[in-house]
Amino acid sequence: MVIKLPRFPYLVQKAIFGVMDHEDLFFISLCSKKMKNLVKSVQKVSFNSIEYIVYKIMDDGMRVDAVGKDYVEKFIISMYPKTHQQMSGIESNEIKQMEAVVLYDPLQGEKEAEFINNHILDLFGSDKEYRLETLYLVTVNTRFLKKLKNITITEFNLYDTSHVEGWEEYFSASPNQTFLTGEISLSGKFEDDSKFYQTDTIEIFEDTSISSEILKNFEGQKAYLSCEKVDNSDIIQLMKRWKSNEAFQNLEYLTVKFQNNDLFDANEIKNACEVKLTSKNAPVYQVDN
Amino acid sequence: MSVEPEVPIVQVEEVRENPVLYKIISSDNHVFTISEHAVKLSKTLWDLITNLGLTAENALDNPIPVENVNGKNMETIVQFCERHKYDEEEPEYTNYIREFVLPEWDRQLLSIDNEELFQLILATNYLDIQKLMDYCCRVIGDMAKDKTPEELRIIYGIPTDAEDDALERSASDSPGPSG
Repeated sequence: MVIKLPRFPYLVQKAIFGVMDHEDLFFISLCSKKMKNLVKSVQKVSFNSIEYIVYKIMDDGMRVDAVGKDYVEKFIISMYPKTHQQMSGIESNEIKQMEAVVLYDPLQGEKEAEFINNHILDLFGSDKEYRLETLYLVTVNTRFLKKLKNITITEFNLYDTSHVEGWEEYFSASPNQTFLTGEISLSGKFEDDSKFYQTDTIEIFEDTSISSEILKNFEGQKAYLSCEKVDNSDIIQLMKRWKSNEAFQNLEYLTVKFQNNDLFDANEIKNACEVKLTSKNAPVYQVDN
Repeated sequence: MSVEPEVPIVQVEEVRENPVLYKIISSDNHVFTISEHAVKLSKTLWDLITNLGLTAENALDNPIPVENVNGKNMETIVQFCERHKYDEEEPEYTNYIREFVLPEWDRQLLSIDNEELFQLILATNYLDIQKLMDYCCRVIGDMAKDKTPEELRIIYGIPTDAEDDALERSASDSPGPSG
């Protein structure tokens, strides 16, 4: 028999939603526009307990968790490809809950990921912090992430080379990145004016040419680069353009670590940039108590 | 064969029991007796008792009519309040999801059909019994487990967007009170 949720007084609806998990609320909010608005208004205070929401990209799917201020992760929704077995029982709206999962056609998935992203933004609000993690990807697949909006922190660890094109789309969709970290191996280059270079803080470990490109185009504040090599000319041009106020005016901190120090000739850079050691007769500042 | 002397059995609960009892009359004229500790779980009833100035001396002579709750629901409510009257106070409500396990006794008590549960929740809301409300909500919330949106729509009687739109249209088309 039906128990009519819309007939309950507002305070009772609020109490009922108050004992539901995020994943159940997410599915209730999919039932109708009215229900979505009700969940939003009733759970506004409860959603304040969420520190951030994280999209975890996997080889064949995606999972979304809400991380509370106590740093406990609460599952919201996931998406996986339809297997032959699952396809026999698919609902017309393509949503079938096992652990709150959206099933997608194995060759697609973009529109499902975009739908989840839009619904989550609508439900939890765009002022919340959103993160992306691409942990332990073997088959690098950027099709789920390239339309994700409003993400400000990205952590990627890729075991294989990923084509830059999908990432370029991702950084265009989520341009206001504050922190980007992880191991990455990319084929191709970002556009010179890519939003990737506008990330506030970049910390990457890589073995391709991204670091060289970052040294040319970075517009953020801090960069911690660990790379196989960059050319001395990349560092020299950075120093010259920075000293002459031509570029890198936001830059506050930069480190470049080479995996092979033999490739690095510090004297060439010092000479080209007129770098002088200040250890002798360095100015001493005294601070009075 | 010796006969053991009859020793009165005193249960702990009875020793702790406050002798003050109140009478409540449901909307269908069923009369219930409830102890002071139990009735305090209902903020509405306790406010009423306080405002009416009922005391240990006059409580049983002045039954409290509760027009909005029928005898069936009142029986469940009295059972619940008597069962939980010595429970420790709940911690302050937080902004987090309220996670608790429904005790088996209460799960049995609330194993009723959905229409009865609906009426019980309305009664609980009216009588303002926080713990019973939490438990009823847990029962309703648990109905959402492992369900698709389509199944949720059926279980919770949620109209589709099209049905909501049609309802709004018919409401706006219908003539007002003046005809």
